[in-house]
Formats: sequence, C-alpha cells, structure tokens
Amino acid sequence: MKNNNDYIRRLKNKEEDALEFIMDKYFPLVKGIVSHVLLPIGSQELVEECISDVFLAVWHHAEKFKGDGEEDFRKWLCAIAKYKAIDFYRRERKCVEIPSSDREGIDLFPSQASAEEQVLFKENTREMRKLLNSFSATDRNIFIMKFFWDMPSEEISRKLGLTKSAVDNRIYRSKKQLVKGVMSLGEGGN
Amino acid sequence: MKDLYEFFNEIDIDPNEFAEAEVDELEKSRVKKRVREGIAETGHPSGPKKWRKSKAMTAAAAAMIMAVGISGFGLAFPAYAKEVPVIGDIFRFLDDGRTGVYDLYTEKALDINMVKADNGIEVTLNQGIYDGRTLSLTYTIKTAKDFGERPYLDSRIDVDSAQGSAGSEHLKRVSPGVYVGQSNYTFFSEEEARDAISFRWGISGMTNIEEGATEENKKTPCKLSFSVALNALDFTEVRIDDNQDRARDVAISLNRLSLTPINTLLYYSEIVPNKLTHAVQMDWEIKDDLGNIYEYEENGGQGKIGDEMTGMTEMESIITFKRIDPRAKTLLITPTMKLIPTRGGGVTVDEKGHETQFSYEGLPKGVTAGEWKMKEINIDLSAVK
Repeated sequence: MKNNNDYIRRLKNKEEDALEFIMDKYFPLVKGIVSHVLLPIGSQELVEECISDVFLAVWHHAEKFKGDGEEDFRKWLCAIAKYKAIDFYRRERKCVEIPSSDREGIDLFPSQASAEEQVLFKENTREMRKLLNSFSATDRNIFIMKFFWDMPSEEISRKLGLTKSAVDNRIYRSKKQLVKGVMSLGEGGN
Repeated sequence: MKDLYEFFNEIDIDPNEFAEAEVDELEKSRVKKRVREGIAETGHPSGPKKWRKSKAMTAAAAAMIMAVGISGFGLAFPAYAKEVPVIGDIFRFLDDGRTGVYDLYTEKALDINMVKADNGIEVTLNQGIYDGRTLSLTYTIKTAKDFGERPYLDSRIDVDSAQGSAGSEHLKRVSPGVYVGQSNYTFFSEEEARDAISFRWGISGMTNIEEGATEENKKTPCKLSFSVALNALDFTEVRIDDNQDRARDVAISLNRLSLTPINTLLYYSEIVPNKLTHAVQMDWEIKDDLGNIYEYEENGGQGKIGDEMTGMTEMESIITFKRIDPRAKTLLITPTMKLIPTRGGGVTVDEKGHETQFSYEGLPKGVTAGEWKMKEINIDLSAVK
C-alpha cells in the first residue's frame, strides 16, 4: 500500500484516508493509554468518546506535529492521548483535582480552582498559550507533565534527572505564576 | 506563539511505557464513525462533543433499503419534500427512464454510505458498483449554498491498477441544497482487474456553471477524499463469432460480451487509418430475438496510433447496455460507422441577415462524410445460463 510511508504528510494535507490509516494503526495504543486513565470511571462509552477526541485532535492539530518520522509521531500521539484522557477524567469528576501528592505547603488553589480551571482546561485559550510560552523549557515540560498528564513529581524528576524537591520547587513557582497570570488576565480582559 | 500541541513535540515521552489494549472491530468502527462525524461538524477542536446521531446517515441508509423494483417511466419521488428527499435509486433517478441502462444497478450495488464534509459541502458516497471495467458511484451532496440546477463537481479518481481512465458525471439538484449524482469511470490497463478494485475518490470543489452565477458563488473549493475497495461483479464472457465488417477502410470487430448481473459490456475494436482517427464515430443498434431494444452508453476506448509503416490506428472500446432479457436466445447487433468532420458545420449570420454556411472542415481530402450501416452480427446466447 502506498499509504504506509507518507501518512503523516497526507494527514497534514488533510487527507482523510490518512487519518483512517492512523486510526487503524494506533487504535490499540491510544485505547491502552485512555482506558488506563479512565479505568476508575468504568464507562466504555466515555473511553470511546475520549479515543475519538484524541483522533479528532490529531486531525485538527496535525500541522503542529513538528517531529520527523513515525517514532516522533508515536510520541506526539501518546502525549495527546495522555492529555485527553486526564482531561476527560477531570471533567467526569466534575472538579479539578490539583495533583494532590504534594498539596501540603502549596495550598494555593482550593478556593481559586474555578479561576484556574477556566484557563488550565481550555487548552487553546490565548491565556494558556501565553503562560506556556512564558515558561522556560524545563518549567514548561514539568508543568505539562504535572498538570496535563497528571504525573507524580517522583516520576517527573526521574524523567528529567532532577531531584524531587527541585521539581516541586519549579511546580510551586509555576503555580504562582499561573495564578498571577490568571488574576491579571482576568482583570485586564473581558 | 506556540500552543500545547506544539509543545508536545518537545517532551520526550517513552511510548513503550504504555501498554496497548485489545481492540474489537465493533468498538473501532464506532469510534471511527464518531471521528468522521466530528470532522463533518467542521467545528473547532475544543473539548469533547456529545455524539449526535446524524440524520443524513439515517436517511441515506433508509434510502438504500428502499431500492425500487418496479419498472416504468421515471421514478416517483418527493421532489420538494420537507426533509431531505430520499432518492431510493439514484442510478435510475438520474437516468430518468431514458436508457434503462442503470435499472438494475441499485440492486447489486454495494452500500458505502461514507459521509465527509469540508467547507460547507457535505458529500455522502452512497453506493458503488464495479462491473470489471467501469466503476459507477452515486452520491448525495448537501450544501447551504445554491449551485444551480446542474453543477459541476470537481472530482478525481485514483486507481493503482489503471493506466488510464475515462469518466462521465451527472449531478442534479433534487431540492434546495441537495444534489444527487453519479459518476462513471472506465479504467484501461493491460490487464483487467476483474476481482476487485480499490480506489480513492477525491473532490476538490463544486462549481455553479449556470449563466448568471456570480463570480464569488461560482466555485467553492473543498477537500474530500474517500478510500474504498469494492469487489467486482461476477461475469460471464461470450465470444462472438463471425464478428467483422468493414466500410471505407474502417474495420470493426466485435470481440466479446461480458454479462454481469446488472449490465452487458460489449468490447469491440476498430482499425482505422490514422488520418480518420478523429472522424470515426460508431452507432449501434442492439436488439434481441424477442424484440427488445437496448440503449447503450459509451465508455471510451484505448488504443495506439499506428506508425508510418502501417498507418493504421487500433482501438478497443466498450459500450454498456442493460442486462439482456434472460429469455432471449440471440442478440442482434448492427454497427453503423459514421465519418464526421471533426469541426462540425454551422452558420454565421451577419448584420444584414446574410447566412454563410461553414464548410465542413477536418475530413481529409477525398473523404466524404456519411454513414455506413454494417452487417448485422448475431450472437448466440443459448449457451449462456
């Protein structure tokens, strides 16, 4: 089949059969990621809804994939799947759970969850983009792992070769910045 | 400014840490359907959308079950019904009872029912049928824009196995914003693909070709693509004996018939002097021993223009007509060869009302235009079950 080699290019070209191909190829992987996260909710319907949302996001954001080749694409897809799954999980729980393992000492949010929620979980708002762009690369990666992927600090620190306290520190700073950002944007805009 | 999806590129994630899950086909097709609908909604990719059952899909599915089985003039249909009109049999509807070539198509056609949309144009690929040589597709197009009575659809077909293709298209408005269409593609290659065909059908725009269409609503581009594989219909071949005749240096031979459950294909070849290649046109009278007369459609042909040495061009062409009456024992085919100037005649009228006849151009010296009826060729069908 011709499709095999250049499905990424054809996806970016908005050719729908490339998406069909991607769905066939990566369905088990995406399902693995999504169902693992959504397991506690126990709804097959929700899992399917989420999987389709992942592929829709792949479709709509295809041009933002900057990597080179299949391996990079697989990573990018995993990132989206993980993010969408967490997002679905939170929506379903109808509350934003700020990752709790390190809540002690950073008790910034409980009362402000809704302001933060507005920004954090509208991935594509200008505000969110602004904030993400304002972070340093390391801070941003930590931030994404923490808030969008719900990864525990230990795991993040292992991944990035930092100590856990360094990661926690950076998270703390990011959160502060986030709240500040939300507040000032809230005052300035609308 | 980058967004989340761009930042995702920068994070090194290890895909091996995730376990793949087992997938069953049913769940996969449900998700795929949902994704297609999500795309069709043309909306923006914000959060999850509740799945809405598409009315269009239901209507199309219902339409397919409603295959029309009664012969007669045309087809009754609710032309301006409140909802989307349901065209039970697009093949027959578009044929309008003229040739009857497509009367049996819907019965054997395979339901595809894929819906895709882009830029305000929603296309449902309803059915497809492949008779071994010609692929026929029917589709329904919905749009908020008015494209006039008979718009032009910018479509393209890709088939790996074919070296060339010829096609025709027929698109008609059935109610405001709803069009049904049929396209035929005949493929040419050294070897016929008679088991199955897989093709990609792409649409790049729709154009209002009516006079008075303003420039801005003339053409609407869109990008849609359907990938489909269809099995070919079963067929029986009938050899044709004593199959040649000749008129004015043009030799015609009827090579074979291919009988499918829905239609009949006649393969014939013509050997024509190079200089007459563009002038020859064939007409066919096809009837059976029961008095049935079969109208036909031409599907084009392929051939090679001969070199200096031979000076002759050999072409093989196909015409399609409806399935032969099963009770018929003999099929009688009479070809008529016409020599026609490539640039037709005409009249100019000047201000004073003087008419000047165009001279016929295009026929080489010494060749006159005309029609030559050739001998009737009888094909014995008694051996065909």
